[in-house]
Amino acid sequence: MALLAYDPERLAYLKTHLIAATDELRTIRTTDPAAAEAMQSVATIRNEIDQVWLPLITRILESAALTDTWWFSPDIGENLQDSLVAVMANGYGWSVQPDPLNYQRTGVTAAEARALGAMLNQADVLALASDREQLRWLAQQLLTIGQDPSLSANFLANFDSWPTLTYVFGQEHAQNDRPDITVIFDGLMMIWTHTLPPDALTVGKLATLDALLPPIDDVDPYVQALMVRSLHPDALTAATLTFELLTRWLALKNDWRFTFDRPGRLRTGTGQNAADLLLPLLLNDPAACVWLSKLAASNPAILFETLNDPELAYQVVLTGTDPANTTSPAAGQAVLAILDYFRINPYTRAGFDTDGHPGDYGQFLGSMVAPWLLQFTMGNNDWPATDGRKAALLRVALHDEQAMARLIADAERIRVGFTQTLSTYDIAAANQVGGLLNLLLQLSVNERVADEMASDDDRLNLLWTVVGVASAFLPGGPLVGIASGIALTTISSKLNEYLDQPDPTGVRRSAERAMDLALTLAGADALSGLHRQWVADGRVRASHPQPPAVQVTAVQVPVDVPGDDGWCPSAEYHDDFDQWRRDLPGGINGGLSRQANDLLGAFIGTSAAQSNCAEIAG
Amino acid sequence: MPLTSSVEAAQLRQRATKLRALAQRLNGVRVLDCYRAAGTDTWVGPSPQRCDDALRGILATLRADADALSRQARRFDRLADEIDQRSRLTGPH
Repeated sequence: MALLAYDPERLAYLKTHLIAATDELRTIRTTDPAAAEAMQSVATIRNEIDQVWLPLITRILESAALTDTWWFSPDIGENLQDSLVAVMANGYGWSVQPDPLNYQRTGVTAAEARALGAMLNQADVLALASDREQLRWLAQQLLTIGQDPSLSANFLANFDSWPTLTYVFGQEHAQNDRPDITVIFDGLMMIWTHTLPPDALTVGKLATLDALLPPIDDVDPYVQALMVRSLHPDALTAATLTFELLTRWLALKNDWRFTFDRPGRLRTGTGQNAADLLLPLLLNDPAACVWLSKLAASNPAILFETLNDPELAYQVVLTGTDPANTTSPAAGQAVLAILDYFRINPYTRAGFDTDGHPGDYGQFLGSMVAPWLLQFTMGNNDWPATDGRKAALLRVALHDEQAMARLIADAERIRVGFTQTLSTYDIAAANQVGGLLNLLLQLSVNERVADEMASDDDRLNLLWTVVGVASAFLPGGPLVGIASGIALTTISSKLNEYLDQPDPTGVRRSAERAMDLALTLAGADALSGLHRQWVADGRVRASHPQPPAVQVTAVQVPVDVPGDDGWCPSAEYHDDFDQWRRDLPGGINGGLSRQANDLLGAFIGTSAAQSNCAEIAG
Repeated sequence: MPLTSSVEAAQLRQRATKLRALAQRLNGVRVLDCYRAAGTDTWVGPSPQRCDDALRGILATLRADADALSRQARRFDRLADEIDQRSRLTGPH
């Protein structure tokens, strides 16, 4: 039932005025046909006043006169639905009664918007938060008001309870994750949006919380997150606001200050944190993820110490550092900073708790570095870091078993990175791939030495993954032998078995030999590919001898891989290789020989392993 | 016919005068001011809002009608002038 409030004296005056007006309209007469339309208007107006508005006013006035009292609901003042009437009755002493025409209106008038704003200032917000029916009504009213700039201005002209209302509702949302509270924030912020400049929600990197949110002293970051989410800014703007908000959130957390989503040591919050509310706003926009990843490079804790669900941060970073979305230097800034953050076991950091979430980060690190493996090598200068630092940071990712597993499984992501970096069939590509294999194997050696019992073959498997992916870019094309060679599987398995011995010195030597063998195999297979290409191009005869093969077979491995007998695969292979290339057209100093030598040199001949191996071989 | 033309022009001018007077009257009727007494100072609620909207609509309607009457009056005057001019050009017979 709609209610109607009125000032009896003024309403009586209106009645008198309308009667006089209709009397006057009756005196207007003319017979000129040119005035027919105007006379029709006059008649219509007179009828509407006579038949609608005067009877209504008379009924209201007579109703009060008959009862000699003005109807007054006892609930007025407690029920927001009647806020307009309450304001008029309590604030101005007006009369109130049911609207005789009983319109079931869903709209909101300017007066109702103003009254609602005033009533919310004095409402018992705690009681309101627990009254779901009234909240539903309030949400509908706020959304209706928010769709109209004029109604919004009327509401805001009276509403000044931002701190209290958002505090109580924000806390309720933090504790109970109620969708109906979210809708209240949506309505409030829709109204607030009309106070902002037209492009405020799309300013992107220039956005600030102060410029976009209602001014509230000491506002809880969780409340700000709810407000930002309900503002519906574009993703880049949301990313900028997210960084500012989470920076403050982290500062409060590190200062052991109270926030709704971080209640303190004695209480465990398990629901969404401010960051959990905000990061989903970015996920569908790669540019926003790139921007937040770049910002977070200055303090990665922003991403990894603010969330309840760390998976959100992982998704943002993986999207923000994906070669399809960003440049190598920009990705490097974020990737290096994040690896540096994980250089220290994050679980030893006070802030790295994930509210009970498992928080496994190994797979994330593996996926993150997969497209950028080449950027860690000596031959690549995309990232402004020393070779030592790059190697140390790659080791952070490869240290974790899950990261290794992810890298091995993520050949496609590695391939994407290679595609972005390498020129196909260029000797420079071979050099970079060879450099990467050397780096991976050297890390593998170091890892084995650091942990004698590390018998898993993940690192060798990663090597085969990289070789398989990279071979498409090598002169001569894909490496058939390496990619599908059954001997290789047998070798890696036997080598691991052999390397599993409790002797650091022996482990290093053996691991280095394994590295030497792996690189030799890769180099030999690359040469085979090159030779096939020469034959296809007619540069050598089909009958010309193929490049030498590495003399290791499934049968030979257990016999031919002793511990300290000086066996060195690369040295032996080099001897055979030099013999073979003497017979190439042009001889050992010819163009083909040099090309083959450069290609093999990308794999063997540059690492410390070879020199070590050479020492072993005497 | 000069005599007929003169009568016709006079009739048009007379109609224009009456239409202009009607327009002036419509621009001054009391109902135009009623909305001032029907706002939120007097009453509030769904029906009062509709009443307020209706009275503001009346204001717009009558103003438009008055403008239309004035335009029509000017057209009549112009026609009358053209008739007189034609009459002078053809001269007395």
